[in-house]
Formats: sequence, C-alpha cells, structure tokens
Amino acid sequence: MSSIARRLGVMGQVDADVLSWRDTIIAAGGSVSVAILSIASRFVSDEKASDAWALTDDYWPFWGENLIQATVSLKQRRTVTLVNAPAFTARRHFATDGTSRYLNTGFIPSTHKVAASTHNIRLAVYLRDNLSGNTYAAGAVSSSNRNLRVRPRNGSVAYLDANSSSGTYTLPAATSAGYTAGSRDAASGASSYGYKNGVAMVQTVAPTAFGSASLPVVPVFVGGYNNAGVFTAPRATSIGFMAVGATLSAAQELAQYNAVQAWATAVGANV
Amino acid sequence: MPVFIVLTADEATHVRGPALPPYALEPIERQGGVFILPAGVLDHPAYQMHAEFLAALPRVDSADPSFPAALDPSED
Repeated sequence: MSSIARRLGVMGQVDADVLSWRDTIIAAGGSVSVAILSIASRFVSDEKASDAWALTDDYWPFWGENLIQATVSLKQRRTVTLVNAPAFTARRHFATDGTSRYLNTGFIPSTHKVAASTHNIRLAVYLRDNLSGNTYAAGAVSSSNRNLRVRPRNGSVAYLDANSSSGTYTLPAATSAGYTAGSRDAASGASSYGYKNGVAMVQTVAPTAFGSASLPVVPVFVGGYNNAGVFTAPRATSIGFMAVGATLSAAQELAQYNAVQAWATAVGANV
Repeated sequence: MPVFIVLTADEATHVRGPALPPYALEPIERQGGVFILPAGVLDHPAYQMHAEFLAALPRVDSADPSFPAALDPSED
C-alpha cells in the first residue's frame, strides 16, 4: 500500500469533528499531522462513547504540535489569544509566568455555553507542574458569586469554584500536576464536586454561595483568572489541556481523564 | 530574575491591543499607577510593530526593590 493510500486509510477513520478542527487550523495557517488526526479522533471517539462529548462545551489541547494547532479549541474551534507572549513548547504546553503572560480563550461562559447552564457547570485543567499557592490555573469571574475557577493546589487542597464561592477538596497527593476538575449540578454544597485524575476528591469545605443570575460574562483566562476584565492571581504554570462544560458523572469523569491522559501520553506530555 | 518594561498609563494605552495573530499586548497594571510588560516581547516577532517604542522605555528586574508590587499583594 502506498504512503498516500495508507494516509487515506487513516483519514477514513477520522471523526468529522476532528476534520472540522483540522480545517480551521489549516485556514489559520497551521497544520495537523496524520498522527495527531488519529490521536484526536481516538479522543473524540472515546468522549462520544462515554457521552462526555455532548456534555462538554469545548476542549483546548494546548499540547499541539505547532502554535496554531495549540491555539484552536477542539469543539467550538475558537482561537485563543496569546497575551504578552506566553511560552509555547510543541507537544507539551503553554507556560505562563505568574506575573504578566496569559491566554485569553475568548470563551465567555454565559454566552458560549451549550450543555452548561447557570447551575450546571464544570471546568477542568491538565497541569504539567506542581506548585502550591494562592494562584489560579484558569477562570472567569463576574459579580455575585459568578466564579468559575480552578486553584489546583494550596497546601494539601484544591479550591474549586463552579459558578459559586470556593469549595475545597483534599488532593489525593500534594501536587497540582495532573487533571483537576471542579463542577456542580445544583445550587448546593452537596451538589458540588472535585475530581483529580478521574477520581472524586473528599470535599472539606462546601461552597455556600452560588451564582444565580448567569454564568460569568467575561472570557475564561488561563494562567490566572479574568476578574471582570482584569487579569488576576497569576500563576506560573505549564498547562497542557483544558475543558469546559456541564457536570460529568463519576464514570464520565474517569473516562474523560483516561481519554485526556491517552492523548497526553501519545504526544509525550503526560505527567 | 525576569525583567519587565515599565509603562505609564498613556504608554500602556498606546501599545495595548492585537499584535500579529494570535498574539496581543495587554500591559498589566501594578501599584503606583504604572504598568508592566515582560521584556521578552522586545525580541518577539509578533510585537515588532511596537519594538522601537518599547525599547526606549525603562526596565526593571523583578528582584529589584523598585519593582512595582501587584495591585493585590497577595497575588505576588
């Protein structure tokens, strides 16, 4: 079989959503290799098999093989703006500096939600480093407890805000590295959840106040959070992947973690 | 330690905005009414339209006592 025929054989198995993602990247001047098409297609297939795809509004594979690829979101195909030159390492991550460099996803939760809603929201980040501090990996905040943020590690706990005040969750190991998700599916502490690498964390402090007017009305920033338009609580971090959407079940959390980790492993970005 | 360009509010307004896609410049406000940008933008091809202007501005090492503090010091 010729090389072209082999490539067409692979292309025939590529998910239609992945082909749309590829086309957006190419139109922006980037490229997607056959290998990444296969990896991304497997990811989307796994997500669809668990029904997490329908519940997740967008995904950001920051571990792209080139800069343009890394700045186009997978599902809604939005282009990230790189503010003040965050460092990009192909097949690994974007690195922010904890002072001035960050990413603006352009994803406004209140406007761009599809599956998510005011009382059903989730934010997940895959970090490649371990840092403890009062700093945020990503988020967007508007008034009246419309806080969507991940503080992946401060000491032994993660602080997770799912359109609410902070809930705290005990990390299974004292590290920010890995896949951290915060979500809620109703306006109560008992309906607020934290997951690390697909496994539920023990809630130590429940959120007590909940955004009820809407989701945040400003874009989600990465490397800190967007506080009503102001870049706030910056974190020097290396982020490989992010997802936003509605709450996942325990089984879907594990399935998504496994799918994310498989993509990370395939490109060498796994931690 | 990282070095930053220090800008006034007017200078920040002058450079703020989109650069070569997908990049943008957004000076970060610090205490004292000043703004900062990482000095690395001077050599970055996405920001060449502002390179000459930015190169003429003062710079300060983040370890220098004169480095302006964050608006919320708990964020440093």
